[in-house]
Amino acid sequence: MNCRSEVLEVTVEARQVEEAMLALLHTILLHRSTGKFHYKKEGTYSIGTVGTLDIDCDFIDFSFVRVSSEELDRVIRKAVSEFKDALSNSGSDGMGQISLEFYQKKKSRWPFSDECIPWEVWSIKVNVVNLATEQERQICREKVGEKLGEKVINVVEVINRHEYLPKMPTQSEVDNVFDTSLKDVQPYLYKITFQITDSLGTSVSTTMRRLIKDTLAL
Amino acid sequence: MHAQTYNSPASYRTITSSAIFTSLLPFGVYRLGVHDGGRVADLPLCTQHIPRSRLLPHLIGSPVPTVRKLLLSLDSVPAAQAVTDATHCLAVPKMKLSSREPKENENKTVTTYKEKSPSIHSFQADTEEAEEPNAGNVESTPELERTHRAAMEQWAQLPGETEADVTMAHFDTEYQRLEASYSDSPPGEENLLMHVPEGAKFFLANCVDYDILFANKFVNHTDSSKVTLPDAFLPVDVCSARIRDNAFVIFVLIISGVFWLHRLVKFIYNVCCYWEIRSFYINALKMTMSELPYATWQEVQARIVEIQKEHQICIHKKELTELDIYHRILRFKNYMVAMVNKSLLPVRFRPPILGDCVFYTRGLKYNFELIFFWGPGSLFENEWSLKPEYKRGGNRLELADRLASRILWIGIANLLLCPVILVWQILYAFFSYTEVIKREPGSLGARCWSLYGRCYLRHFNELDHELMSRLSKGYKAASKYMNCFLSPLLTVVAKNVAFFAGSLLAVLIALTIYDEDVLAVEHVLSSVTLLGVCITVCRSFIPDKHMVFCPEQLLRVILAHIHYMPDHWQGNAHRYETRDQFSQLFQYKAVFILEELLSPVVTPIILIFCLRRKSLEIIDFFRNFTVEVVGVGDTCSFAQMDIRQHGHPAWMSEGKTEASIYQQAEDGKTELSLMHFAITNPQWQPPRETTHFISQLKERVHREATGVPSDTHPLSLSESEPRSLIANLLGGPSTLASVHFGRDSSLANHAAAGMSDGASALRSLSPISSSLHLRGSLSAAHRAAGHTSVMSKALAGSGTDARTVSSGSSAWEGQLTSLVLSEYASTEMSIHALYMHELHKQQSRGELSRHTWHRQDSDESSDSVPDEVRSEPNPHSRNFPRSHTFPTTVPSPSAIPTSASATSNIILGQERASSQSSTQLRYSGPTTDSLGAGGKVVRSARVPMGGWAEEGRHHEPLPEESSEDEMPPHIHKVNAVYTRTNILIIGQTFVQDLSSDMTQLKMEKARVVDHDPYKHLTSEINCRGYDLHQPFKDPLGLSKHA
Repeated sequence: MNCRSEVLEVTVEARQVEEAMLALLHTILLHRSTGKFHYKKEGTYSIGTVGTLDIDCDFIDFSFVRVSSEELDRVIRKAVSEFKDALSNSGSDGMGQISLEFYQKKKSRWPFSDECIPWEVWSIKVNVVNLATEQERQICREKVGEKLGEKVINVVEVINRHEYLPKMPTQSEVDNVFDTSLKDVQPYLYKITFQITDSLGTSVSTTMRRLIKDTLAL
Repeated sequence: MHAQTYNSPASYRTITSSAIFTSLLPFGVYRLGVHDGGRVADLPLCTQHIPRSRLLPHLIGSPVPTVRKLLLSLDSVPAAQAVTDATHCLAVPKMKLSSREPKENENKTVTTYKEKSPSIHSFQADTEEAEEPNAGNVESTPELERTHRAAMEQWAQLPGETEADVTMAHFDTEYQRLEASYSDSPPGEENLLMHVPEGAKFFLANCVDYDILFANKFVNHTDSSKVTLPDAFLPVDVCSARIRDNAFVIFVLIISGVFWLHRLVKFIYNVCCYWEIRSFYINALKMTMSELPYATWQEVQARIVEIQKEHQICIHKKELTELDIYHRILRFKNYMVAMVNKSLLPVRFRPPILGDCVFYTRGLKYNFELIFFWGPGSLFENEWSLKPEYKRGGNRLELADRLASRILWIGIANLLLCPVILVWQILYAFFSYTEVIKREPGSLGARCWSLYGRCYLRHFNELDHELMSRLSKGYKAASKYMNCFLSPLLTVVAKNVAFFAGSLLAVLIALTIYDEDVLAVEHVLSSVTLLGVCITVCRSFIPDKHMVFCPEQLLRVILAHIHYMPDHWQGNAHRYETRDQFSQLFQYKAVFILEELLSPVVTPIILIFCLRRKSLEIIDFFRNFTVEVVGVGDTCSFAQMDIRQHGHPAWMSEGKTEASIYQQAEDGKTELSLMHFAITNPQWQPPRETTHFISQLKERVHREATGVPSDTHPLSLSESEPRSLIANLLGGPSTLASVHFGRDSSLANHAAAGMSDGASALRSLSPISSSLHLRGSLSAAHRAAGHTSVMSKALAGSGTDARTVSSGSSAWEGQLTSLVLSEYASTEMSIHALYMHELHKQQSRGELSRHTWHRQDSDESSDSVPDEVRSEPNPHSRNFPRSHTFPTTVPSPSAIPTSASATSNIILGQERASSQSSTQLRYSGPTTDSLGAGGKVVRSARVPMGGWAEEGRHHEPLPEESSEDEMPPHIHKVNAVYTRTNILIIGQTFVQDLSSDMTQLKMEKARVVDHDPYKHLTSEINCRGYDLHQPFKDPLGLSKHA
C-alpha cells in the first residue's frame, strides 16, 4: 500500500530474455545508485563517482548503459540467469515476472529480524514467444529493441518525477538505506525476486497470520 | 474527595438490596475482624473507572473514618461494585492487610459488639486464633463459621453503619477468599489467573470432594482449625482415574486447554501490540504515556498529520488528510456498514413463528470477514487492495460461482467444527458472565446495543470510540423508551410475585435479626438468595411509578444520539411494531448471550443457505463500490461520502446527486455521515461541492436553532431531562415575533441598533447554549457555560461592537480544551441529525402529500377533512418511503392517531417549526401537486444488483428548490468558524443577518407563514393529535401566499 509500484511488460523470444532483463534492471539501478559515501568528521560526507559503461546486446538491436561495477553486474546476472532457467524449466506458457524492490530497513530489537519496508517496486512481466522462421526472428530482434528503448525512456520519466525517496542517512544509518557491500558503487537497498506463473493470490502465510491475529483480536 | 471521581454508571443502579449480597456469598471462610481495621480502604476503590495510579497514592494510608465516610457517600451498590471490582483489579494492597497493624481498631469494634451480643467472646477468640495459627486450638469448622456469621449479622445491625459498610465488609471477605486461593501467585499475573477457572471447571467436577466442602464430613487437622482448599481435593490418582473413564470430559478438557492457551497467547499478543503502539506514540508522535489518557483522538490525529510532513509516512502524497487516516483504519468496517446499509448481508430473517428478526453474532461477523476480506481465497489480495479480477466486470458470473463454492466450503467447515465452537462458546459465556450475573443479577435484564444495531447505526468513517460514546449517550433514553412498553399483565403478575417473595424474605430477615442462628439452618441462606433474585427480576417488570408515557419524545432524544432511524418510526413511537424493531437494535443482554450461544449452530446454515445465494450480488457490490485512492488503497466508495455519487434525493441532496437507486445509500447514510465527519473533524477540507453542501446545511440548521427562544417552551423547561431541550430545540413553536420585530426595527436604524440587537439575541440564546452544556457530563463544559453567560452579560451591558465578539472568541477558544470541543461537536451533530430527519420527513411527506391526503382511512380524523378531497382514493398511498433495512409494513405515520397528549403537543411543535423550515421549499415551488409518486415507485422496486450503467436517474427532480439561492454568500466564511464555537458564531450570524437585506426578506417570508390565517386551524388539528398539517395546506392553495 505504502509504496510505488511500476509495471513494465515485454514480449521477447526465449534467447532474448536474459539481455532484455539485464537491460531493464541495469537501467533502473543506474538511476538508483550513488557513488560511495565517504564520511568526514563533522557529519559531512563526500560522494564518490560512478562510472558508466555501454553494453551492446547480442540478440537484440539495442544498447544500454549500466554502472561500471563488475560486482553489481555479477549479482544481477546471477538473479537473471536463475530467472531464465526457471522460466525455461517451467515449460508452460512462458509467463513470468521479475521484480526489483527497493526498500528501507528498520532495525528492531533482538528476537525479531530487521523489518524491510519497500518504497518502490518495479515489476517486469515477461511473455516468452516461440518463433518459427528466421525472418520472424529478425523482425522480432528489431521490434524488441524498439520496445526496450521505449521502456528505458519510460523508466527515466518515472524516476525524474519528484517523488518520495528515502532521506540521506547519517553515517550510522547508512546501512538502512543503501547497500554498502559493493566496493565501487552504492545502490539503494534492493531485492530481486521472481515468480513464474500467477500465484494463488493470498499466500498461505499471510492467511495464517491473519487467522491468528483475528482470533486473538476476538 | 474521591467520591466525585467515582463515576457510577447508570446500569449499576438497577440493583439491589444488601440482602442479596449477603446471601450471595457462599460458604466463605469469614475472617472479618482481621482486616476490618485501618487499611480496608486500600483495596476497594480501584474501580475500572478510576485509573489506579491516580487513586492509590491518596488512598493508601488514609484512615478508616475518611474511607467510611467516603463509602457512605456513594450509593450502596456502586460501593459494592467498587469492592468487587477491586477483587479483580490488581491485588494491590495484599501486604497491607496483614494482621498486625489493625489490631487496636479491631478490638474497638469488638467492644461495640459486646454490648449487643453475648456471643461476642467467642468471636473475639476466633479472630485471635485466626491471626495466630500456632495457637493450636482445634475447633470444628461449622461452629466457627456460624459464630462468624453471627458476628456479621451483628455488624449489620450496628447503628450508624449502613449498607455500604456491610457490603464492603462482605466483599472484603470475598476478597480474602480469592486471595487465599491464589495467594502464592506473583502480582501482575491476574490476567492469567482470571482464566484459571476455565480448566478448573473439570477439576472441580472430578477432583473435589464435595462432602468436605459442604461440611458433611469433618476433617481432622491438628495444626489448624480451618478447612483448607487442598483438603477438599481428591488425591491425584483417584482424580485421574475418574477423568480417564469419561471421554466427554477429556474432550472438554482439551478444548478448555486450548481455550486457556488461547487466552494466554492473546494476553502476550496484546502486550506486544501495546508495546508497539506505545513506542509509536513516544517516538513518532512525541506523546508521553502520562499525557495520553487526557489526549483526544483529534489531537492524536493532528499529530499524525503533522508528522506526515516531516517523516512522510505515506509516500504517495505530501500531506495526509483526516479522511485518509480514517479510511485506512476503517477500510473493512466501512464495507460492512455499506453492506448492511444496502441490506446485502443476510442478517434479517423471517422464521415461521418468531416473525421478523435479526440474527447477527460475532461468529457470523467473523465468518463474513473471513470470506470477504482475509480468508484463503478471499476477495482481497492483501489488507489494502481488492484482487484485480474482481475489479473487472468481465467474468463476474464465474467469480460468483467461485465465491459461492467457497462460502459452501466455509459453511461446511463451520458445520464440522460446530461442536467444538459450541463448547467453546458455552465455556466462554459461562466463565465470563456468571461472575457478572452473580455480581449484578440485574444485568441480564439490562439492555445493550446489538451487533446489528452497531452496524446499522454506524456512520461511514466513524471510529469505534466515537460510535460507542454516541450510543452510550443514547443508552439511558433508549432503555427508558423500552421500559415504556411493559405488559400490564406481566406487571400484575410481577407485582404479586414480588410481594409474595418479599413477604417471605421479610420473615426470614426478621427471624435472622431476632436470632442469627436461623442463618445456619440448612437452605435458609440459599432461599434468601433466591428470593432476592426473584424480587430483582420481578421489579424489572414493574414500571417506575414516576414514569410518564411519552415515547415520541423519547424517540426523538434517542434519535439525537443514534442519528439513524427508519422513516416509519417517526410518529409511530408508541406502537409495538416500532418497539420491536427498536429492540433489534437494542436487545436484552440475555438475548445477546443466547444468540451468541446459538451462533455456532445457526452460522453454517446462514452461510450455506442464505449467503451463498447472494454471491453474485456480493461480487457486483465489491466491483461497483470499490475505488482506489492513492496512498490509501482500495476503499469502499460509500466511505468517500460523495453526495454526488451516493446521495439520496430524499435526504437534502436533491439536485446534487447523480446516483441511481442502486448507488444511493439508504437512510441518508451518506449525508449524515458526511455531516458527522465534517463536524468531528473541523480541519478536514472536503471537496468543493461537498463544502457547499455542508455549509448550506449548517446554515439552515443554524437558523432553525437560533430561531427558537428556549424560554417560550414551557414543556421543555419543565422536563427534568435536560436533553429534551435539544430535542425540542427544533421542534419548538416558532414564536419568533419578538425577534422579528427586533429585526424590523433594526432595519430602520441599521448601525446603531444592530449591536444591541445582536447582543440581546445572544443573550436570549444563552439558555440554549447552557442547555447544550448540560448535556455534557463534563465539568469543564459547565465552566464553559459560565463563560458564555458572562460574555453575553458583558455584551448586553456595554453594547460594544459585535466584532469584539469574534476577536474575543479566539482568546476564549484557547481556554476550551479539545474535549469540550468534541462535546460541542456531538451536540451539534445531534442537532443536525434531528434537523435532517425532520427535513427528510417534510420532504417525503411533501412528495406524498396527495397520497396521504387521499388515503382511505377509518380514522375519526377524517371527519375534520373536507369531503371532496377524500373522494379520490389512491392506490399508491402505501408507498411511503421506507428504508430497505427495515422492510416492514407499518402504516404511514400520518395515518396513525397519536394518543398521548404530550405527544400531540410535541407534534404540534414540530409541525410548526417544520412549517417554518420548509417555507422556502414550499414557497419557491407551488407545484407540489405535480410531485408524482414516481420517485417512490421506483424506490420500492429494487433494481437488480447488476451494476452502474443499467439504471439511469429515475427520480424526477422535485420542483422544490434546493434553496441555494437563498443563501447569503457571506455565510460560508462564518461556517468555518462555526464548528469551533457554537455560541459566538450564533451571535456573529445575527450581526451578519442584520446587515443583509436578503436575510431580511427571507425573514419577512417566514413571518408570513407565521401569521398565516390557517395557522390556528392547523394547530387545532394538530392538537388533536392528527398529523394533517401538510396535506391541509396545499389543497387550499396556501402556497400561493408567496
